Amino acid sequence: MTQPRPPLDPRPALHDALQHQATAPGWDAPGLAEIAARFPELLVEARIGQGGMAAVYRVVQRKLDRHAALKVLRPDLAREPEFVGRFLREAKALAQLGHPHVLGVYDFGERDGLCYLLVEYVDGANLRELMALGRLSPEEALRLVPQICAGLQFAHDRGIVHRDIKPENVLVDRQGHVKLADFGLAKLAGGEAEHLTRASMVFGTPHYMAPEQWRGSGNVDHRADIYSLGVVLYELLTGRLPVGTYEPPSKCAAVSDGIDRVVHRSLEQEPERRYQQVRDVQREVERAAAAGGVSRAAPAAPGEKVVPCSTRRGWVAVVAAVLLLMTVATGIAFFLHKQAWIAMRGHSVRREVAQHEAMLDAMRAQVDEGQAWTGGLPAAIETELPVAIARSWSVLLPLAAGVGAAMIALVLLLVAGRTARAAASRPLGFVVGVLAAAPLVGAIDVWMFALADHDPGMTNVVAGTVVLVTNWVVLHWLWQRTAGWQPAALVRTGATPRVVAGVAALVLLVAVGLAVRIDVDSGVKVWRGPSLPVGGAELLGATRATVVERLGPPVAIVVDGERLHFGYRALDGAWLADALVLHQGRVVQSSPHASLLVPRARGDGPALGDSLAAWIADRGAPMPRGADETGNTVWWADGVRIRLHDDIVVAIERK
Amino acid sequence: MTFLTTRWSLVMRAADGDAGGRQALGELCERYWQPVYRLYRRRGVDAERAADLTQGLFAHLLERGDFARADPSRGRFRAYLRTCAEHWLARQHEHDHAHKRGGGARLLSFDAAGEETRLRLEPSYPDEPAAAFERRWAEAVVERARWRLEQEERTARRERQFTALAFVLDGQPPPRSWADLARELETTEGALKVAAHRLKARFRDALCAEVRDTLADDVAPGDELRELLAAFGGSAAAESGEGP
Repeated sequence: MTQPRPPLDPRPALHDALQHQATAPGWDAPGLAEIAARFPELLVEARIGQGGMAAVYRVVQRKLDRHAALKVLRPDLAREPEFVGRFLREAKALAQLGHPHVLGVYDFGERDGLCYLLVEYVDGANLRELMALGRLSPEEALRLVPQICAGLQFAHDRGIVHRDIKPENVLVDRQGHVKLADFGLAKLAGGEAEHLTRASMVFGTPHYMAPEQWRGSGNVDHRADIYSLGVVLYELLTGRLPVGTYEPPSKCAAVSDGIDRVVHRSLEQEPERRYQQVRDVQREVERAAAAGGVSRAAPAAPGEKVVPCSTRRGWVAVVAAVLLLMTVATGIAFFLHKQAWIAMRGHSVRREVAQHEAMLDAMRAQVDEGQAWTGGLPAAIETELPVAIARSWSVLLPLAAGVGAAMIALVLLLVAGRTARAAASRPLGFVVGVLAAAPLVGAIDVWMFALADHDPGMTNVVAGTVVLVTNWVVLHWLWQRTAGWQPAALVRTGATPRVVAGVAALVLLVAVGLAVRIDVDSGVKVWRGPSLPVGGAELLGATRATVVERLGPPVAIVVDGERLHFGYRALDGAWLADALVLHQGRVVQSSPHASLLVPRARGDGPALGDSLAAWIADRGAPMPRGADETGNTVWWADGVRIRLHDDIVVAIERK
Repeated sequence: MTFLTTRWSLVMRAADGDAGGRQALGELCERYWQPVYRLYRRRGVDAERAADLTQGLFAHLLERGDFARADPSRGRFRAYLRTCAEHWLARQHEHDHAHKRGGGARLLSFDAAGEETRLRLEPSYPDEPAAAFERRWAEAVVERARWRLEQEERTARRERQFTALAFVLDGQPPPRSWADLARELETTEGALKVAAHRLKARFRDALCAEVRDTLADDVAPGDELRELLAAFGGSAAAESGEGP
């Protein structure tokens, strides 16, 4: 035999067949031979289904040569004495139902303890099976639902409530026509809600039951079917069940909000608030479908599985949104804070630098004349900021950056709002909304923190509170602007938008706060080594700020070409005999035994001693003079011994 | 359906020389010659001789007629045939060239050339010839079920729909959206999906029937399906295990 097809992978087919082999029946349904023995007028072909309550066989009615489905109820049900009577009464009512959308009942009865119904055979599939092949398009769903409604209304008009509307009980034939199966059978399972619940549990899910069926209030009427119909409608459109605070169908399927209203009203907890008749549901659905109920949004992609819309992607979206928000907001905060910090320090720094420069000019003039500087000492500049930056960057920059961020946010916001209004682009609107929130929130937060840094009246607690509230308001408002879309994962948690916005605001507060703190720390405290020694050599590389912090303000400043030499007092009170050379705020050189306290003039050595004497005399101290054992000149001044060699100070000691 | 007797059980029950048993065996052989051919080829036999051996084996089996003594593999035609095929090869090696048994007789007409093409297309698995046999068997089962389904659809004049819906049989998503497919075939999406579902269900049934035909009445088709699947899973594991 020739094989008509190229080699294919046989695994899916084998797997599929194996899975169907494995469906375990919950009870022992009669075998084909047993059924054949009891129903000689039928040719039993196959068992085609088995549920918790009944088994179904495909048969041929010999006399009519017509296919039919024989539904045999679980034998133990028939053991209850009143059950058979009730079954026969119900079945008789069902047999009266002749409607194109209701599965016809050919025969019914009880035979040797088996209650059976002989019903129309539908060569088709139920809605559950159809959904398993991929979500139905909204058009198709809205074409099928009115047929369900028509069948239901017909039965309701005759006083028959289905009580178990669910996708498994809605059959579709090869022409695409709906047939409702199993009318009233759920009631036969017991009549009381307790039994009903148990039966439904056996069937698989109680999600289709109306609340009053659950509660067992006893007043279950046709409006319970309307509830179940709402669940089926929702599931057909979205691929999932309306549990908890469910998303309106229009958020994840291309249907109009008219359908949202139908679903919402059908799913009201109180029967009084639901539609009172199925025909009302039908009318609304048909109206929504006709009036462009199916919106322009993209149809389900080919090959789409029965993945409930946005469920799988839900958490991905949430995590992505949080990461995006945090990254962008903290990045902006980091940058803006740096600018704000520079700008706010800039003013005082510029003033100090100006003072220094004036003083240095005066010193230079005196030093050039070979005289000692006697005009006092400048206060240390407390920042290591490069003077050039402090000069050129003004407060305008962070201000401009903040305004820029707000502008970007505004533009994104407009885009987000527009995108979000298109039903299919809501997730995109959400993302753009998050993008819009980031610069806005980042800018606001950083200004608050910068204010807290700068203004002693504003504590971090106050700033934090303000930031939190502002974040919350901005995020919540943005969310509403972007049409309130939210990932289904969030919806299922049951959190309201307010709560979600609150949590997001808190997360942002922490993130931005941390960013700002790290920024400040990295800007100011560079030195993180062990406790500083007093020797200048160990200070190499330290910043000016560190030196000032450890050694106090400089006691002398000497100009040497383009460099400034600073003299410092050691921490222990002894004079530091090192000269620290700083370049752009950082110690680049440490020269031991340098003459620090005197300006070092070029060439004229003896004059130096005089100028030192004059300098010390100016400070009002006596100046005994002598020589030590090695021939160094020794000066005494102010309780301090100064040794000079060749008029260069080599040591300064406390007496 | 369960009270229908399978072909393999017919064969097993047949008394020696029983015509019904021989006919059933002939049918089965006709369905599953490819795994045997594949086995020989994987054992390094050249194409011409593999075809001869396959023919010879079937001729021998049908001639001999003592089918039921194929223990210990009574339950499954697959296992029986593999054992026989291995023995046959060993025996033919013994009498190598002495006399090509059945070499001239052409009991089955089969497309050895087509099978050669397939063999070339198949990725060369580094596995045992026995596993190649099992895999080819699984392919033959599925292909036959599918071929039968296609014949039925052709008879029912639904070829166009069958072609359009073939993807469901491969467990694939539709190439276009269901709505588009439905428009193309001038039907509704619901009706098309119903057709797809029915087709899939019938394919499943056909596959099970096909499998059941190779089993004794007391062997569950599920077990056989599981073994056929294991031929793939096992080989995949072996491949990855043997890799460097």
